[in-house]
Amino acid sequence: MAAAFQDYYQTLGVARTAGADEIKKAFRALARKYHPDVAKDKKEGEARFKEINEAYEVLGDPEKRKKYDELGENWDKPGVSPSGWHDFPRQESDGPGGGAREFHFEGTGFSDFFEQFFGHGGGVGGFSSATRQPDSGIHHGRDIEGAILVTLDEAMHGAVRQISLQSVDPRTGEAKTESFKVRIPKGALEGQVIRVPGKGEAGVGGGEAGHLFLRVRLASHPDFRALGADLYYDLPLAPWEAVLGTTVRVRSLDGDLDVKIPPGTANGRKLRLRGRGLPQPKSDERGDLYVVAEIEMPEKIGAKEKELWEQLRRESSFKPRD
Amino acid sequence: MKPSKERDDTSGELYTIETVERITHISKDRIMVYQQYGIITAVSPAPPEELRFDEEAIHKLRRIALLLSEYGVNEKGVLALSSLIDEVERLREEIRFLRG
Repeated sequence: MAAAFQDYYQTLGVARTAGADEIKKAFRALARKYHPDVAKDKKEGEARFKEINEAYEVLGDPEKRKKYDELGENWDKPGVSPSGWHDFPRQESDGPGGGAREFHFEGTGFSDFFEQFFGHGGGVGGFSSATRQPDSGIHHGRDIEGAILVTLDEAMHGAVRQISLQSVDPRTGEAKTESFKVRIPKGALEGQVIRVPGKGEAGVGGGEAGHLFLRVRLASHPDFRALGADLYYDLPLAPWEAVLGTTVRVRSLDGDLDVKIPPGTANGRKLRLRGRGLPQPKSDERGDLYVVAEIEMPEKIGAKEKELWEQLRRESSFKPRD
Repeated sequence: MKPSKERDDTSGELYTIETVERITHISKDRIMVYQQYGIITAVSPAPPEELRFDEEAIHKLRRIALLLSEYGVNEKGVLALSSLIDEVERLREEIRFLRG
């Protein structure tokens, strides 16, 4: 079963020549619009949010974008393989009975197309006893690996996801679909592994079935970046706000918070809001939220503003290079 | 340990070394070696019989089993490859964080 091509440029509404900043800006605007927390139609919003995330996962990463561009319109033609690519593991791995078995996921938040070309480690892997008991006729099934897209809200509260895994027998073309529930644990972190026992390849001759391993990919958020259980929020500040200090309302997973910006805040300074991050795995504690000061410069200034800046230049004792 | 009836996954569960041995088909002695080399990490330091491992350790050990049995990698190669794979994964996470 062929995966349907995904036009990620169309999804983000950007030209193929768009720069990295333009792509990031387009992603953030769309992610804000369709974020499940704010979308008017929750179901539609969630579906769009996942599409946008997948598109940004590829176009926002220069290496993946290059590979995607190389795939282009000929992505499904036999023999087409972008430079530096090897055949996808699931296409070259012989199952216990011989032949290459295909797998397709539903419910992980990623399209089949993404899984096939960009889902790190996606496909078949893991334990196989094919060489362990060569004469016994017993072959344990191999593990299947994939990625699962998890929103910060799901990581915050936990969730249960219905996943479907379709496997296609290479000899008969017969497709078998199995559905099961997977729990996203509260405190799921980027890169965490979720195991579903027995949902990998079937064993042969009484061998055990392999396992399904899903690696958590936290969905990119328009406001926050996650590092472990800590969250980072980039806060744009005017130069005078950084110098004089101010109080700014910032978003958090617990709602808006008033944050005091101390006078003399330097660019890149991190202000820690303890316990406002994601839940720590296997703990009641939460990570922290770091508000990162980003001092922005005005692109255009009026005559009066220019006059004030010039007055500041004349009168300021600040010597940054001394 | 059996998964809950409400779901099929085992996320959040911890395993004794005996259970890890059964799931991964790697002997306890080898599991201890991989732990000593830092390839897998027990949830908290303890004597072998009290050690508990999470899904990440299970995943790594099954990958090691694959490298040994199907790719013909020797033990030294497994240690080197496992470290490199972990490093790649860590760097991927860092890149994802930095690009936002």
